[in-house]
Amino acid sequence: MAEQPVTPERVSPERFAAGRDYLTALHSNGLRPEALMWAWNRQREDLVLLLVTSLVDRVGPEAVYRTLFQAFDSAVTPAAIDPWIVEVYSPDTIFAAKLERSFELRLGGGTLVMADGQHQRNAYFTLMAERYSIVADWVYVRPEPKPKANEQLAGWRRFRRHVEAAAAA
Amino acid sequence: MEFALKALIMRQERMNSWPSLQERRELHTHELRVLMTTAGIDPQGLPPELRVPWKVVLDWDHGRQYDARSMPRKVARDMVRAAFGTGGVVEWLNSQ
Repeated sequence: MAEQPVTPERVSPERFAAGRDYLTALHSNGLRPEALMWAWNRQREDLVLLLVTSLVDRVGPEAVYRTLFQAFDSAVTPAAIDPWIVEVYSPDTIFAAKLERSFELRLGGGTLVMADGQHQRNAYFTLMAERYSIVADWVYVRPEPKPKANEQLAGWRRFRRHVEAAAAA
Repeated sequence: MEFALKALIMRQERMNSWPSLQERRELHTHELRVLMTTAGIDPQGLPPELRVPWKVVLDWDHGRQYDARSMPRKVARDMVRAAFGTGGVVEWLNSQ
């Protein structure tokens, strides 16, 4: 079967808004992803929300996913983003390193600024040897440096407290 | 994980050997989500306590190998527990 072209329209305005609301909910409750964006999984032919956070290494993937499911169940995060479509990566994984290198092209405002200084609106890049294609307009948070552990863990504890309080309410 | 899912498919379909590529092309995959679908498992229909183990297991791919350092023990332990621990995915698959 021929591979479907990846175009910005694959993420509808509603879906993009839902992802932005998801990020706002995470931020306002204490969780700050080091990268967040929609990506087209070419193998499965579906959209996923890629979330890069070093919390994976600091508290473990089980705690991260458990809290994301609880946050979803207790409406701390928007109902439009089911955790099943959220894929969490450590920034130290092969994939995240490739993602960061891809962003060395410098991404800003839905426009890729190429190494030669030319702007390419709605450009997409494919992470070679990986399964995702990402369009510039799908990015909420481009890869950022890892936060200090104490600051990040304080935010994480706040996030958990809010989720547990909402679940208990 | 892959073998546990394939064993479940064999039990469900009462196979006494794994079908050849010519007989069942769709079964010759390493993609856990495809095998999960073939086995009739819907993530949305899983018991709540199994969502996290399944999510941890399903998300594993080569891209989650660590680049310039070894995998943190916490990550490795979580992955093993999700797959093979008490209340993990393999235990549940074997009970189906």
